[in-house]
Amino acid sequence: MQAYFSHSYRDVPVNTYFSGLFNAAGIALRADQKTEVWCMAKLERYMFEMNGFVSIIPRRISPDESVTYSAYIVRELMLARRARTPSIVFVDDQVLTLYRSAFPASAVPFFHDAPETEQAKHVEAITRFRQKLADGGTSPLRKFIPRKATIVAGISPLLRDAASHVAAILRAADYTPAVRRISGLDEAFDDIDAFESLMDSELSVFVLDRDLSFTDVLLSMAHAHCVPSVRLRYDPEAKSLDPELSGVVRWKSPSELAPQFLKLFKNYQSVFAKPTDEGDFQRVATPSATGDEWNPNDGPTLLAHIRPEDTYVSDRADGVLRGTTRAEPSRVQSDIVCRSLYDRIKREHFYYTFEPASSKTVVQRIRPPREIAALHCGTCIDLVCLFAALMESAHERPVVSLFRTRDAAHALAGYLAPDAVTWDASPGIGDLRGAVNRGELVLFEATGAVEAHSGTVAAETDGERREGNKMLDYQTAKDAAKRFILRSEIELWHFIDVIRFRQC
Amino acid sequence: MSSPVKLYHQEMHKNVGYFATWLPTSPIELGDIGVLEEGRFRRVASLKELGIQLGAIREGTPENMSYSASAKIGGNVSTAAGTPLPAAAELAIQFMSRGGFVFESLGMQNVEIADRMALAESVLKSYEKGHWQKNWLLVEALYRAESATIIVSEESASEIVLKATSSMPLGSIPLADPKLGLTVSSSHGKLVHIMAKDNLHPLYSCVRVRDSVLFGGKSVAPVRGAREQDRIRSLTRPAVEELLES
Repeated sequence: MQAYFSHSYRDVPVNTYFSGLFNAAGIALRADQKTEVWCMAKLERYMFEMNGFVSIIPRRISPDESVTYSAYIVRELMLARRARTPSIVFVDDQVLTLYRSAFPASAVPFFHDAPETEQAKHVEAITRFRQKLADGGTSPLRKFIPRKATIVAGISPLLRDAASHVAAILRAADYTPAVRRISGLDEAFDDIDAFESLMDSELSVFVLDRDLSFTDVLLSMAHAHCVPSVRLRYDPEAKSLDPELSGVVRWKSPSELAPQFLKLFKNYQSVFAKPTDEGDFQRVATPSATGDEWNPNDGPTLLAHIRPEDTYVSDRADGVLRGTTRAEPSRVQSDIVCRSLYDRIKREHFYYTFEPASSKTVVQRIRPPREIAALHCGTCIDLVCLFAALMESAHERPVVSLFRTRDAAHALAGYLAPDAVTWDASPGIGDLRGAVNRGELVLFEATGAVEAHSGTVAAETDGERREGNKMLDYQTAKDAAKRFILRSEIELWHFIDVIRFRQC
Repeated sequence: MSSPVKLYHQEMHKNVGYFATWLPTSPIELGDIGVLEEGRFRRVASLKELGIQLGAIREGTPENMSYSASAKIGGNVSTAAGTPLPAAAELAIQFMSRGGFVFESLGMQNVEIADRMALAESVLKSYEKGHWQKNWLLVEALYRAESATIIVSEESASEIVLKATSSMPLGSIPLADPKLGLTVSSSHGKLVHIMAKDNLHPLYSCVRVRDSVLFGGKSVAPVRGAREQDRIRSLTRPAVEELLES
């Protein structure tokens, strides 16, 4: 008995709790590996391949401190309802109170910090759900011809050629595609061959015009039946090429079409993971290998991963500087800038995760700023590089400090005060401790600006994370870094004075 | 020659990032100018004598410090800070290497020259006038101890037995606390010991003019208008190895 597990990657403790209950009930959960691609076609496919649908909807705290929830999880719930997949939905009690009409009447509440408080009710609901699946209430079987694909396109030459290109890609992957072009309203409504072709295809691809057209009528039919569909919309004025919540992916020119389609198609073909414990959930929440490689034994090359010119970085640094009264360089001024940048990133509600997996043991992958933003997560070193770039973009003197113990490594972000006197040779741990004591070097726990869902990351306490709602305020992030650097067991691995290294 | 108590210097620098004043009771003040010799700061002048004002002083928050290395305290081998002491009327401390030490202090407070930009400006002007020697170091920050007990072995094997003259047993309060009335009951081997002495300056940090300035080195920097802090980059900090090998 398998069920699709729709959940928020960042809420590992909540996910682990519910996963344990489902395991105990004999229901195996399948989850989608986190990637930067939102692929509706893959979700539509799996709605029919799973016996049931399990949704865990935690709360989100928006920048204005209001309670909300992930639009993506609710989108998945909508797909399950459309596919008539038997579902069980657990919703954060605050979310359920505020948005009652957005969820099925059978939704079960839970308290985010201690879901086990209502464990008896949760077990009862899961038992009923299991019984329903056992009594034959599983998803209706979708009958289709494996590797058959239907491509529906508009009539303009641009869309015609685009459809041919998609068909060629599918043929190369051993699919059997058929292209259908819709030229009138009657044809869109009444072409039963086209409709049946959609229904018995494994995959449909819609090559849509910029404005709504007859092709969209067929898309709405496929959508209503939860037919796995890729939605490619031509839009010469598209501002973003990322998949939208609706599943639509925009393309501006024929050269962009193939990479856009391939990105979705590759994701559609990938299989679901089978998480059971906390480690599995961390892995599912860790996007697969992306980012750029860095050899941790070669500290200075980390400079290449500090990207002040990245527009994500410069936009935020400019925004902070615009909102900060400029004054002569001083310790106070630098602290104001650093605090503002820290608080700016904190508002993004990113979360702390592991590094992307890599088969190469001597390198680590560092996520660039845009990828951190797209995936909403990063490691300590990803975030330290992000803060270094932000500080550099704000004309401060960022530093990157990497430490290691016998079995772990950690990175701290920071900056040198404008009146800092530095060293001719590479500093040692004692030199850094002295600089921190003199206030010339300010270090802070970069992961304090993001949510840590599995307790603590470094020298902060559980209480500090709890107090900060899984994050740390700026002062606490500085205190935690100071505690960390005073630990006797740590060894300084690399210290990078970014501006000085660049000049070298 | 080099420092006779390398381990003490190395460990205190590693723990706090400042140089240890040797001997611990040697007078050293903010604005002192000097050179390093045999692990000591030898004063040769001061900012005041060169007609340079110290300006405002910045003070940190007082804190207690406790460090030790290569010392067996009352039967416990101590290699790290904060080892709890057993409560007893007498306390024997054995040192297993040259430079092995026990450092306990109350009310340690960082004190430093606040306006380093102005300081850098003044030092460089003094250098340009030929008043500043290229090997000079300037003490710009130090730690002031309300009370400190510092015992350092100058031999590879030594021992000291401490006795409290008050009714309080040793181990119940820090060794630096004058309320203990700490005295030396006996000792063998060459040791330097300071018992609950007040107003010590046991740690200091110093800067010097960077070589690139002394030898007329030039650097290329972006044009962003006059930047006062560029003067601060004309100063540098000596590494602890320089103290050890002085």
